[in-house]
Amino acid sequence: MVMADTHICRIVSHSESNAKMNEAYEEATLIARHQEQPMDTIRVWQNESAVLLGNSGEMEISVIEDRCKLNNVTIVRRASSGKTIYQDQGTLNLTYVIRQKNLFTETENLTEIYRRLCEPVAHGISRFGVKTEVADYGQSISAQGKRLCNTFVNFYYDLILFGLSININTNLNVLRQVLKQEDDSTTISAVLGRTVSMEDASKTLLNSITEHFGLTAENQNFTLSEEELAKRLYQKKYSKDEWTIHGRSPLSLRDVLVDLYVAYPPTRSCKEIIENVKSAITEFRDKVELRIWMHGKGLDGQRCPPGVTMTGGLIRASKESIIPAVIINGEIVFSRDVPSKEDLRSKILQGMKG
Amino acid sequence: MWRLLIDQTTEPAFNLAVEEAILRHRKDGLGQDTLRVWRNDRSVIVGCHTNANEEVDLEACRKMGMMVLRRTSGGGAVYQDLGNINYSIIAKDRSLSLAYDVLDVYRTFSDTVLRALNSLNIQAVFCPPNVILLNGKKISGLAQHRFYDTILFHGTLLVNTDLQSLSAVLLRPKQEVTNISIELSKHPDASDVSNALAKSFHESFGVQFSQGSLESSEIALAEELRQVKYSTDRWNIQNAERIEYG
Repeated sequence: MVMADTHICRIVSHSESNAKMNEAYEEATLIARHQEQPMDTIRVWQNESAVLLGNSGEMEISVIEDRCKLNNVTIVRRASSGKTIYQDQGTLNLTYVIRQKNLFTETENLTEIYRRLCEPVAHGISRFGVKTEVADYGQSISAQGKRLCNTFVNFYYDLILFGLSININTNLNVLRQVLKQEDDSTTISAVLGRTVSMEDASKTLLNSITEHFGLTAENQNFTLSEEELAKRLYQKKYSKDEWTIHGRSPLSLRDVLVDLYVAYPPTRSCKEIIENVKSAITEFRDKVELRIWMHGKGLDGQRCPPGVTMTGGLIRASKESIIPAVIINGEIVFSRDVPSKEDLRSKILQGMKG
Repeated sequence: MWRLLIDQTTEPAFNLAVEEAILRHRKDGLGQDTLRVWRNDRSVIVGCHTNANEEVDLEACRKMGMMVLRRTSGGGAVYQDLGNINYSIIAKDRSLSLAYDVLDVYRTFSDTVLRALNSLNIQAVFCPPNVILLNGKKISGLAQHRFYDTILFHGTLLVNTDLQSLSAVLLRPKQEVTNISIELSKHPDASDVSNALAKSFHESFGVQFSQGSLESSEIALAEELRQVKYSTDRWNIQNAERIEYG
């Protein structure tokens, strides 16, 4: 593909091998790109032995956990959707986090986009002498009829996260032992009958991608705020069974979530509640997340912005038009009236104590 | 004493703004509890949580020069024209000793509406949660909106609506709709409906009505709400522009 303008992106290649932490980095990269990071990112990393489930996939832990334990394999729920896959230090992960319009036109459908994101990786693999094919509507790369690469995807505002999990030297014996389903996977080394180093694979595939898309790439590390966000995501989400087993995101990355449900446009009383809540949380600034929802308008002008979970209390307030409502950690604690700052503070403190 | 308000204005954005203005006014303890009867020019009104794209053929509306507006209550999209009569109750909860249960409120109000229709020889039935049927077809949809200690309860009444336009602009009506004029060959007008409703509300809740008009402060607030809310695409078709995500 020929690009009209050279597009600059950063490459973040790092040595973290904790699979849960790496998923936290995935989500942090996506959020940061939306909020503050000016460049698209291509991220490269390898995981310890892990089975990775799709973010909304049915849990198969009861089926696979014994086999995972036996093989010292961690079970992780991804930030992205896609099938359940196995990875280890012989698997190369490569993720694009890009603003869709930077590489694609509005008329390109998702299948075309997936295919075009796979193509340079397939070309890169072929440089080792492996004849490859982009298969499954752009969602995998195969060689000799067997799967060399799985993909995973997530969307966030106008961003796309597209990841490829490429079997370079993946241990296929462990893969077949731990995965429930029949697997037709292979590795580049198995196809070639020789070992390809992870370094060579990484370098070759990145070169292929940057050449293919005409990208000017800069090697960078994660920023401090990305590191901090990833750490919070790990602590509150990816390291927790609530996410891994049940697929439930935490209500907030902070200790207490306060949702305010008010009229649009806010009445004087609604403005008074907003001010009271803001004042009540001042002393707990880093521990409380405040979201102000407006009836019929949602949060920040969107009914439910990407990545935001509507709590049970908020859904009830919305459906039953309970205006105003103060909802703390998903429970309606004040409704149809203006609570005092003292009452609000007391409820927030209760929320912190869990 | 309640106010019986028979509005002559048929501009949809202003009418929706008036409804919210009365509600906000009443919430602040101003004005009177009100039964309002009103009609809109050709328009499509979507529920406050509705994605207009999913329920309305926006392109057909554009071609037909029809406005698409968003009301403050929930529920599905409705087509309106002068053949449709709207009725609204805006009152303090305490005036009607209302429960907070949404379904209970529908049941309570629908009983009153059915009695009013009965008095006009329209033998309709309530179909929970919020529809009134005549001969098995929808003639009225109900919605409610709670606001502090005040309620807005409103409904439509298909008397002689252009059903062809209705089916052209609504993408997936949940029920078959009909006009009272088709089923009964009669055309109750806004005055018939408002009188019947006032009588029925009196019987149900013991309230008295006197015919009134909008207060100047309500009109001023309605003008403001029309300007900042009901005449803006940001409010009316917001969700049609929503970015989809996986």
